[in-house]
Amino acid sequence: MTRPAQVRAREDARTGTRFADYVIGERTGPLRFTLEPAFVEEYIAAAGVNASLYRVNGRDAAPPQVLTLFLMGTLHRRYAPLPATVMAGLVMEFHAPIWRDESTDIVSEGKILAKESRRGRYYVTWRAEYRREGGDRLANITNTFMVPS
Amino acid sequence: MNAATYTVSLDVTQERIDRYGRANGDAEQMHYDPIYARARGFRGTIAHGTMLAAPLVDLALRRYGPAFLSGGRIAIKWTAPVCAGEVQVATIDEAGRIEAVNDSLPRRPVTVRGETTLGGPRS
Repeated sequence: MTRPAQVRAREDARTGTRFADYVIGERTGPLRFTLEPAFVEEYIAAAGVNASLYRVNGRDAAPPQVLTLFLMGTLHRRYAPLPATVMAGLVMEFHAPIWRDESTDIVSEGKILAKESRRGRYYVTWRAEYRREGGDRLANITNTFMVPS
Repeated sequence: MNAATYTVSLDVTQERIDRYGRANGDAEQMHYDPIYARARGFRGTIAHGTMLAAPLVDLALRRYGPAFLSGGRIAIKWTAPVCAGEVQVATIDEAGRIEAVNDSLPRRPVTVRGETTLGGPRS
């Protein structure tokens, strides 16, 4: 089982990436991880989601927003985090269910889409794409975060 | 697909923040250290943005059903934090718009705004 802590970097003021160092168009990843039923259960309990809603044709699906726990790990393949980085926006597009009762090998890749400075704040937008290893698309997540400097 | 509105409430306790943080694997002290958080201008430790977003997908599932898992889109912007000890209440309307508020503060500030769709153009 892959836990997010295994694939994300720790926030560090010395080695974290500053706004100026993000490169538009640069790709990040790939990140490979395995989503296992036990971790999905842990996520459901921690996030307080209503798991009974995620049922497709009689089979339980994992709440796909569990992928957000692996989101920054994809970015950290290339760009280490700064402390006090704050989430600003998120777009999640779901393409196929992830089943709650089986392990799923996933590969995610990212790309820096945009940078913007407004009113003294620094924003970076990037997208992560998630696929089953060797298989179909699962989801895209486009994230905008604010970097302190 | 349902035309009704739906509401979900999230109690943001420090215990929940800690539990989410263990799953999430982050070490950002704004979530765990109230002195650190207050020094940065927050009322206290703050919930992870993705934790606040998680029940909003529940709202989309109630609105659109399980088809959302194979063709749904949810777009959100965080507008204000929710701190430990506070409650977020979120609603989705007939048009798929989501608004979440901090139900623990006098003016109930909006914490998340969002839109949901099923089908349509995909990236």
